Amino acid sequence: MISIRELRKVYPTPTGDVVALDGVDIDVPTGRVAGVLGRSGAGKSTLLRCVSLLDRPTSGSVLVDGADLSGLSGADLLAARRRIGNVFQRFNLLDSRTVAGNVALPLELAGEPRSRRAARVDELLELVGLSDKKSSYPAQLSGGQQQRVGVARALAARPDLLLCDEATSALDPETTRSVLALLRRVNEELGVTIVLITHEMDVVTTVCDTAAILEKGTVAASGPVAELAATPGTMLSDGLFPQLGAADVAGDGRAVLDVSFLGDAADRPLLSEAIRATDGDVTILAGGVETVRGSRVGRLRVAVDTTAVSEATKVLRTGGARVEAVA
Amino acid sequence: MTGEGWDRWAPELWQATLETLAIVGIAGVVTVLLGLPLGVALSVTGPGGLTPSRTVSRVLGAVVDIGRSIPFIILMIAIVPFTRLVVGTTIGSSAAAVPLTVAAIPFFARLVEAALREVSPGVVDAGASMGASRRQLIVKVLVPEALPSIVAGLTVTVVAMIGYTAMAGAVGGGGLGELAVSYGYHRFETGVTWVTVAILVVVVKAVQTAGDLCARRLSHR
Ligand SMILES: Nc1ncnc2c1ncn2[C@@H]1O[C@H](COP(=O)(O)OP(=O)(O)OP(=O)(O)O)[C@@H](O)[C@H]1O
Ligand SMILES: [Mg+2]
Repeated sequence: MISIRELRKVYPTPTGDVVALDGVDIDVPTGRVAGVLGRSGAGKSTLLRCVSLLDRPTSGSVLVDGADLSGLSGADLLAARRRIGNVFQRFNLLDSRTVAGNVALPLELAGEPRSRRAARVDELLELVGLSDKKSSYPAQLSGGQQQRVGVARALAARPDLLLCDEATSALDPETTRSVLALLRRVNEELGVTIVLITHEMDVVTTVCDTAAILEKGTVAASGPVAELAATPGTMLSDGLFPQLGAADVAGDGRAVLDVSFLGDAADRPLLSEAIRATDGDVTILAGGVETVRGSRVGRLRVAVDTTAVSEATKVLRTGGARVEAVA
Repeated sequence: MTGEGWDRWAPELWQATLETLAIVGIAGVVTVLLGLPLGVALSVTGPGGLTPSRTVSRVLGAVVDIGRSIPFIILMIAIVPFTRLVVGTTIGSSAAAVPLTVAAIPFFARLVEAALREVSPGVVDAGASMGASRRQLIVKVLVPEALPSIVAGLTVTVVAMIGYTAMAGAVGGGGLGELAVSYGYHRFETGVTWVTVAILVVVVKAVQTAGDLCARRLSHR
């Protein structure tokens, strides 16, 4: 379990202090894939650098299985960093080393003997499907292949935790999917906990179990991905159902409700139940249904006769939907 | 130059060429041994380096820049006592190697510093995130990544050194420079001067070509 507690990071600059993180609390259960979603400048990279112990928080703590890592120094700090793998947006492979040499680097740094290094490197290249590129140099590989090398290298020292900062942002959609599938496999087969940082919603909805939405250095919302997707107002939900943002809120004298469903509630005929119960008209203004991490998530904007609002709301809520009045 | 003259000069030219190569070779090796660590020190203590230290960086920088700004001919004379201390004499090829090395070290160190600064910070971050110690970052990440540029810098340094050996030779430092001046200039055998120049051109070209080839071999970009 990784617990980030009241994390603050302030960068002093000549033009004044920049508050990159302003009290961030995030929990990542062991063995899960957690996403951190946020716009450019939200503080995502800063957060990850504090977790990977490359940067020291101004205050607050990063606890891994209860142990506070953010205060470590010297040999303890280096040892703790070895337990955490990092995958970078720009791959950051060494041009001077072959694929095998890059994957072997963390083992070399840890003082692993040469014979055991070779076996481990073969195993990892097999895992990422690049056994035939062993003696190639990074410049001879495509971006997707380089990122696979990056993943293999990050896993070399058998870390418990893998941190990915925009690991797919430099890749095209198809390559992105294959790298995400690889990360998912790493999580499922090796049991490695993954924290994934991204500004792309798709990345979160395809591989993450839980997510935190970072806005201006604070967590705006967090929880299981499907729940966030069903919560109007979160970046994830509004991004997933853009049609609701653009929809009409004027109901021509009728009330406008935003209704969202998750899981079982999305499978039940709630709308017809509401119509039947209220004996009034219900008009759909906009809506959609998506499958997020195996759960069906639906959002609807409907116009209801003002006399029927309270009854309709009651029926929908009883059925497990979330209802908010917009107008 | 007559055929008879050529027979006379040929062995001396050969001898002088070897002497020049020996001076540059020895000075070159010592320059790498001392200039590389100095360049690393300049780079890691500089702003944004692995261990920024304004004091160390300023002191080293000042020493290096003073060394680079003294004209070679003055440096040669100024360090005569040091030269005598190191090699026991102030004339001949071993005596020429000392000021040559002293002049080349700061020059090469700055080129090394520039080469190291070109290494992507992301790659250094990657190394640090794997738990590399400072020494490991230098030995396993920074220097190997900068090696093609360092080799290019060494080539530039060696070529400059070849030019300086000729200058050292003119004041008794041995090698092709001394031959060109003592015979070609003092005894009006201009043919000898031209031949030495031609040899220097060939040597410089050979060094440049070898350096380029080496840098290209080392670069896998
Ligand atoms: N070293 C630094 N010095 C000063 N300010 C910094 C530094 N690093 C980051 N910041 C500031 O902190 C804020 C958060 O930056 P950060 O890089 O964490 O954002 P991000 O969410 O990763 O953005 P992006 O998606 O563009 O990578 C920004 O306002 C940035 O300008
Ligand atoms: Mg970033």
